[in-house]
Order: sequence, then C-alpha cells, then structure tokens
Amino acid sequence: MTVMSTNRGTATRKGGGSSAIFKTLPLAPFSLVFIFFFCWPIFQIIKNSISDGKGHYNLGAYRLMFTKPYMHAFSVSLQLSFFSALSAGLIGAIIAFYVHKSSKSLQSGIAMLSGVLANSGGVPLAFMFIAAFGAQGGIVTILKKLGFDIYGHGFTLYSFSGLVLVYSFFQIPLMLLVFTPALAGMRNEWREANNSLGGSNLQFIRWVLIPVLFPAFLASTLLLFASAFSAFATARALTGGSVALVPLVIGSLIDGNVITDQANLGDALAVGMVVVSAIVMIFYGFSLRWARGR
Amino acid sequence: MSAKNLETKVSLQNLSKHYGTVAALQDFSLEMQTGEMVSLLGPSGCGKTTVLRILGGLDPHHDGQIFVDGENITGSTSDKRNMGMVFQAYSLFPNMTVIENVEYGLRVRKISPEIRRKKSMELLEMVHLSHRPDAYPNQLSGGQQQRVALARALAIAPKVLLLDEPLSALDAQVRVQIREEIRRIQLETETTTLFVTHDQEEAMSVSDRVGVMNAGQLEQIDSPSNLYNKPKSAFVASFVGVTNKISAQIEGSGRVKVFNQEIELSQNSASFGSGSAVIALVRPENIAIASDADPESKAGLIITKSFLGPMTKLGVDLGGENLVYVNLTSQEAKKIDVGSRIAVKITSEELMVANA
Repeated sequence: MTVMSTNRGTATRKGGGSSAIFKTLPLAPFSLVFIFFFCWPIFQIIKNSISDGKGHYNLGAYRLMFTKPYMHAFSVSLQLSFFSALSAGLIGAIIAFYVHKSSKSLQSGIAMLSGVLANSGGVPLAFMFIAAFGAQGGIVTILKKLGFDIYGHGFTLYSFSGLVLVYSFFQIPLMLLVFTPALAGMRNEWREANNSLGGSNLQFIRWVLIPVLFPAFLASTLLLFASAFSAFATARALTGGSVALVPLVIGSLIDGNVITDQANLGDALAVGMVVVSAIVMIFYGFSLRWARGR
Repeated sequence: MSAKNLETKVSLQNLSKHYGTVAALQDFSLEMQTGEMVSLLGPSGCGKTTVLRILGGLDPHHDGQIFVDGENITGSTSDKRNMGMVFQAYSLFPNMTVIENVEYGLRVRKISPEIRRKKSMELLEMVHLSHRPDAYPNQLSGGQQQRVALARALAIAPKVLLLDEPLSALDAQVRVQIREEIRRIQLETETTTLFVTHDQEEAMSVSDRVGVMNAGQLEQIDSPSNLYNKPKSAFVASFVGVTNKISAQIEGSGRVKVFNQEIELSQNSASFGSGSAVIALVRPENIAIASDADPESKAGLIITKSFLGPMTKLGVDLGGENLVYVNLTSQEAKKIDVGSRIAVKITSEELMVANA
C-alpha cells in the first residue's frame, strides 16, 4: 500500500512539475529580452565604468562623477524630475478626479487620448512647444497682445521652468492613466457613511479620501519622476544642452565630446542613473503594496 | 417591543419619487414607533432601498414629508439627521482601524479621545469584537466587518438605525448569526430601526412589523404572523412564503370552488362575479392528504419529494396546470414515494383568490 501511495505521489508531482514548466514556457521570450536588453547592458556599463579600456580596473570615473559639474547635473535632473512629477501629479490627479465623475463615454475618450499623449515626446513635442511657447510662439504672442508678456516676467521655454512645462504635456496624461484605477476603487458608501455619521465633505476629504488615495498618488508620482528622470530627446531638442541634465551629459559623452581619459565617465553616470531609478522603483513598489493593502 | 414605547418616532408622509417617467415611490407613508424594528420587503426595484435612502437623507424625493420625533426634517441634509446606517458591504473606511472606524462619528462630533475610546470599546464588546480594535477592515471577515459597521452606526446614538441589506453579502450561516445579533443589539439599545431586505426569512424572524412593497407602494405592513396568515392582497399572499396557485371558480354568495370543495372567500379578496375563473392561493400547510373515498378530495401523482429536515415537501400533479406543494412531516412522508398516487384536500376555512 505504502509503495503504491508513494508511486502515485511521485506521478502527481511529476505531472505538476511538467505542468509548471508548460505554464512558465510562454514567459521564456520575455526572460530572454529581460536578460539581453536589461541585465546584460547594466552589467556592461558597470564593467565599462570601472575599466580604463586597457585591461585595468579602477574607480576613477566614479571619483570624477562625484565632482561638482556632474553632481550639479544630477542635482538639476533630480530637481526637474521632482518638480515636474509633483506638478503633473497634482494637476493630473485633480483632472482624473473630475474625469472619474464624468460620463463613461467621456472617461473612455479621455483614456484613449491620454494613452496617445503619454507616449508623445521627443523632437516633435519640443517643436510644438517652440511654436506655441517660444519667444515668437503663437500663445506667447497672443498673451503679449493681451498685455501679459511672460518672457518679460523672466519665463523662457529653453530653461528649467520651460522643461517642467513641456514635460507636463506627457506627464499629466500619464498620471491620468495610472491614477484613474485608484479612483475607480473608491466606494460611494464611504462618502455616504461619512455623511450619515455627521461628517462634512471637508472632513471626508481630510480623513478618508486623501489617506486612502495617498499611496496610489505617491506610486503614480514616482512613476512620473522616473519618466522625467530618464527623458532625453525632448530636453535635448529644446535646450540643446544648455540645462545640465544627466541624460544630456551622457549623450554628449557618447556623441564623442569626450575628454581624454574620461571614456568610461558616461558609463559611470549611467550607473548613477540606474541607482537613482532603482531607489525610485523600490519606493514605487512599497507605495503600490501600501495602496493595494487598502 | 415594550409597551412603554408607543409614541411615533418616524413618520413618512406621502413620499413620491420618480426617475423620468418611472415612479420609484408613489404616495408612500409609514409610521414607526420608538424602539420598533420595521423591515421593508419586496422584489428588486420595488422601492424599499429608495425609502431607506430618502429617510437617511442620501437621496432626494419629489413629494411628501419626513418627521422624526415630531420634527420636520424633510429639508435637512444627511449629516444633520443623526441616523446610523449600515450598508450592504465595503462601507468601512479602509485607512482606519476597527476602533477608529467606530470612533469616527464621535470624532466628527469633537468628543474627547478618552470618552470616544471608552464608548467605542463598549460597542465593540457588544458586537463581540473587543479583541480586535487595531485590526484593519481588510483583515476581517465579511461578518466581522458588518459587526464593526453596526457598532460604528450605533456609536452616534442614532435617532434611527438604517440597515440596507446588511447581510446580503454574507454566507448563509453567518447571515443567521448576525441577524440574531442585530436583533439582540436593537432590543438592548431600543433603537428604532428600519431594515431593508429581500430575504423573507430574515425580515420575518427579526422584525416587529414587516412592510411588503410592490411597484413603489406599500401593499401591507403588519406583524410577521399576520402578514403570513392574513395577507391583505393577492400580491402579499403570493410574495410572502410559498403559495400554491390552483385554478378555481367563484360560486355565488362569496364562496369559491376549488377541485371538489366549496370554500369561503377571504374578506381581503377582490370581488369577482359568480362563475368567474380565478386562481386560489393556498399555503402548502393548508393542503392535507385525504382519503380517496372523500368526495371533496382530489387525486394526483407525486412527481417530486424534497427532504427539508423535519419536514418533507411533496410536489403533486393534480392534472391540468395544477401542480401543488404539500408539506408533511418527514415521518409521515416516509412511506410515500415519487410516482405513487395520493388524494389531497384543502383544509383552510377561507381562501384568497386572484385574477386567473
């Protein structure tokens, strides 16, 4: 009896094992892509960042990365990512809130439009904004005729604040896409329970709405931060490198504007970006788990 | 309900509400006494939840007035009505612990933290959850969540407790347990309660009175036993409990002929002319097995037999479109098998009839 039971058990385990392999098999192409287009490049840049190209390894590029000009680039990139993510996050969350309350047809229309806009960027976006908000742009001219000269007040599109404005073009739609599901999880019963217990709308917003939505808001904003931190083409086309951002500095190093003995600096800066992105993603993961726990 | 509480607590007068051309409520009136538990029962879309939400101030209505303790509250908003509400499910604030949820209404009222914690713990003890004050809603079962919701609603000492199908998302065993707890707590706190449900057994077992609604109107409101035994309309008779519908004919002088029997018409039956074809509404327990030799009996074939514990339900095909259900004790039903023939007879002294 025992032997038979054992045999049956083994057969079941074998069946389960082959079933598990069969289930995971479709993930094999993704695993290959992940290994060759994510893990392998990261390994290569780490290796190159500590290699002098002559078979010797040292941390010279990292010592250089921690000098003022490159730390300044990191500082500007982080500030730009922070301010653009925060402003787009807040504006996007408010828009998402009102879209969520609108009709189903408007909601699906906005979702479709957001999907397109969130993936817009690069040179075409930069030129669109130059046409609208450049020194001679259409909107700037109209505002000037109305007596409001934004360039006279210190604004310029080719600056830090200009980049925040341009980034909002794809970040607000991205916020709409990623934050709307959290709003869909809000229960009408919570508002009604608040009212029947004597709570005002302000108390509901303060004690229920904001605490419930905050983790999802944080996760969405961190995603915007990561998106802004890695953006390259738009900033390059718009500022031509006048605003020191890490991706632009790496780009200029790759383009061949390399000072002697700094060939691996671009790799070291890229590793720095990977570290920042990894930290953001860890916080993003925690925020998501926090949001789902609600 | 104790005799001391016979003053009117809630008076809903001629409420009407419509969605476009569809009437959700038509001239609906209801009075509830202090400490009374009234259930509203009816098919989906009959307007029972609409009444509860209008009373709670969560939905507007078009006509009619609402009085609580003699005060007209028709125009006041839900946050000013002091009514505790328990919803179907998922109404606890997910960012707050059990105790914080229960304290919420007291916090809104700016009660000191010490007092509100003491009061909330008392209520948690009442709902048998004092051991989990720091749990979050997602760590509780559906039944536990509803108990917390009940404690939260009671914490504000509501003038009226509104229960909107609070058991519908729970499994059968927990439903029975929680509904008994709701009744125990309601009696303990003497809170006037309006309970909306689509479950007859639930309504009948916990309420002082049950109102049956149909198409936005209150068909009948009465004690559970009167509702079952003395229905005032064919709708109530067929909606409450199991009712056999048997082809019958009106005889002269207020009598109805069913099978070979002539039986008195119920006072509440609509009037029909002599000779009219009608449907007689007969409870299963008012049909008994009779002798074949009885001239008033009707023979039929047993086509189903359902064991229900102490009782067994037999489905008897009497020919034509007359399939009747008869309740027997399981002991009596032991010797009767599907496929055998029996004779049955109506035992009630009066019958309600409806249009054929």
